[in-house]
Amino acid sequence: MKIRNVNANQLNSDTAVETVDVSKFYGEVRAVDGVSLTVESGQYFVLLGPSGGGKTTLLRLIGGFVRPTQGQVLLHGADVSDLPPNKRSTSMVFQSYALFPHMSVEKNVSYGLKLQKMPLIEQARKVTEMLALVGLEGYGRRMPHELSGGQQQRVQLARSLVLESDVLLLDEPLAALDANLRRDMCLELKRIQEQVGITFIHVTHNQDEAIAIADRIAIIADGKMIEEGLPRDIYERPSRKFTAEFIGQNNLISGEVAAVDSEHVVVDLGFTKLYVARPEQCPAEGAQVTVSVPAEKIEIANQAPQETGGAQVLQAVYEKESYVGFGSQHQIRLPDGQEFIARSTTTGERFQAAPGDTVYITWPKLAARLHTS
Amino acid sequence: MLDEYGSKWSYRAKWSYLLAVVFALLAPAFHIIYVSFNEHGFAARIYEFTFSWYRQILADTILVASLEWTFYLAVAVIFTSVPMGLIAAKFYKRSQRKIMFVTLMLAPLFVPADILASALLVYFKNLNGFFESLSDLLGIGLFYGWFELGFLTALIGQIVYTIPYAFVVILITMSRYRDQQTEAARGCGATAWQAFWQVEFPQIRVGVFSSCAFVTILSFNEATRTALLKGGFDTFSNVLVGEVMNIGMSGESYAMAGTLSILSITVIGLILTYTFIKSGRLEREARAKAQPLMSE
Repeated sequence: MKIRNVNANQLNSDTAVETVDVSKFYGEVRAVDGVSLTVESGQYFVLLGPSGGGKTTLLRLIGGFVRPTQGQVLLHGADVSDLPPNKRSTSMVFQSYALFPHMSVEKNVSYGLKLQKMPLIEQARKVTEMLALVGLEGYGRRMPHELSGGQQQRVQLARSLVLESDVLLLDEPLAALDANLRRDMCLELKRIQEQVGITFIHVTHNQDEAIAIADRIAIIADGKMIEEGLPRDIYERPSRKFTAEFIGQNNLISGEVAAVDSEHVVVDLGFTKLYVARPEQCPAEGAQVTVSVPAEKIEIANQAPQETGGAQVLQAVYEKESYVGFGSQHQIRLPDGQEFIARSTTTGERFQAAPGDTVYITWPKLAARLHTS
Repeated sequence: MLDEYGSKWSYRAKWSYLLAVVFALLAPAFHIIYVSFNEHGFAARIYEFTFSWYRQILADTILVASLEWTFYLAVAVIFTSVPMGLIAAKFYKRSQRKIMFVTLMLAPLFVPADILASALLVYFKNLNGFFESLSDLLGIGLFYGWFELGFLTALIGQIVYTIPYAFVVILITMSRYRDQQTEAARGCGATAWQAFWQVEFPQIRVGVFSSCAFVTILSFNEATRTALLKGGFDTFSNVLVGEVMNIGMSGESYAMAGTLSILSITVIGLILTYTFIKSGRLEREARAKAQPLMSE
């Protein structure tokens, strides 16, 4: 195995995978609907979205396990839409149950090499190297049922990596693992990807997992690609309403554009006006829009702030506090009856209020995002 | 498994009832085997153990010939019904309309044997007539006698009868197989055939071999359809039924029935014993070696 040390900033710039308006229909159901996507070589790319959104089908289209109804799948610029999986330079790690239970760990890992008719000595060398890479030295003689869930996933990873495919597809590889193991394996996957330097496309519905490992993230829902970008941009500056709802914990408020200036858009909520940073594609006055405000950017106080410092301030009614481990979550109700959530961490001064108290919530104007769709 | 809140006596009563039913069903077969080893035959007051009735079967050329035909038929049925049952089971797993498919596959079991046999007989007669007419029309003798009663028609009759069993037995094993393993094999570079032969087949092998054994037993025991569709040869069961109908049970008849019973019980017993021993061993191994599922 050629092991390269790369990181997200040193990625090879050529395109490893491209889908061009690719679709998969099952009768009336549009599992994937016209998705165009580009994944650069050496990237750790994550397809993130709710269950049943079509991300696994998209991954299977790339791997050749399902044939597109329309559109193209390109690997390094070559159209592979009509090629079966064994003719593509991809390999796949499945959610679970995909190890061959009648073969030992080393036979599982060497299976692809055996199909390539590689000499036995070479096979053994590569298997040893791969098991070392995934931290399973000495496990070669074990059978799959003698391994824990995490170890089984590592064997799957070794079995795929040993083939030296250009692209590794991972279909919810951590979904069957417990929370601690999932966190460890996340870091392990990232380390291995950086070490081997090949393209990883990872499907998950877990946003923490996605943000922790991805170089880029595509949000997939209802068979469509909603948004694509860097994890930080997706989390902090979602451009679509769906992304704001799905990623992180954003408060969404609907209103009408009352005014637009060079820096701001003024949104009329009915009981007050919000100032939001003007987006690139600015809506016209009178347009119906949604504003998202991240829960962790909201500050809550018993008294109205003396100096707003350009922040947005709203008066609300306090409802309750929920302890969430790393901090507290405060449930507040706006004058129009809409629920708002503010988060505070345990490191700061603890906010206290009784249900029914009047409170003031504040957030920097730049923290709010405007969504037209 | 015992219901922890249920009565122990109720549990024991259910098991006793089940064992009693099984014993009642098998008792006549064991009795026939017992009688078949008696020098003096059925209802004799003296019991002297002997193999003489079994030796007589082997000395009887008609019976030996019928055994040969039965064997050939069984082999042909294995090589057709089992692969077809396997293909059907694979198709079933992918099928969207599972209930309709299963109903179609099992339909031959719900048609009484003599009705199915008569229907096939009429069908083959008509089909044969059609092909003969076609031959006459074309002026060539190529299609003559294709569906005259004989080995082929008897084979088709047995295939129709055995396929549902082959399908169900294979399906039971196949239901535990995860299709992701086939996809994983394809992802490793295997062709569809390599993925089946190297990954799927080893895991459903028990079901396929059990299906072979089951189909063999069915073929050996089948009499009604074969009697109507066999044409000019006899199978072991046909000879046995013929003897019983014409001259009643003789020592030789008991030995023939004993042969079929011993064969059936032994084969099924071996399969069950092997399956239980193997699954028990695997379970013990897994328990001894496995770490907790979700931790390192």
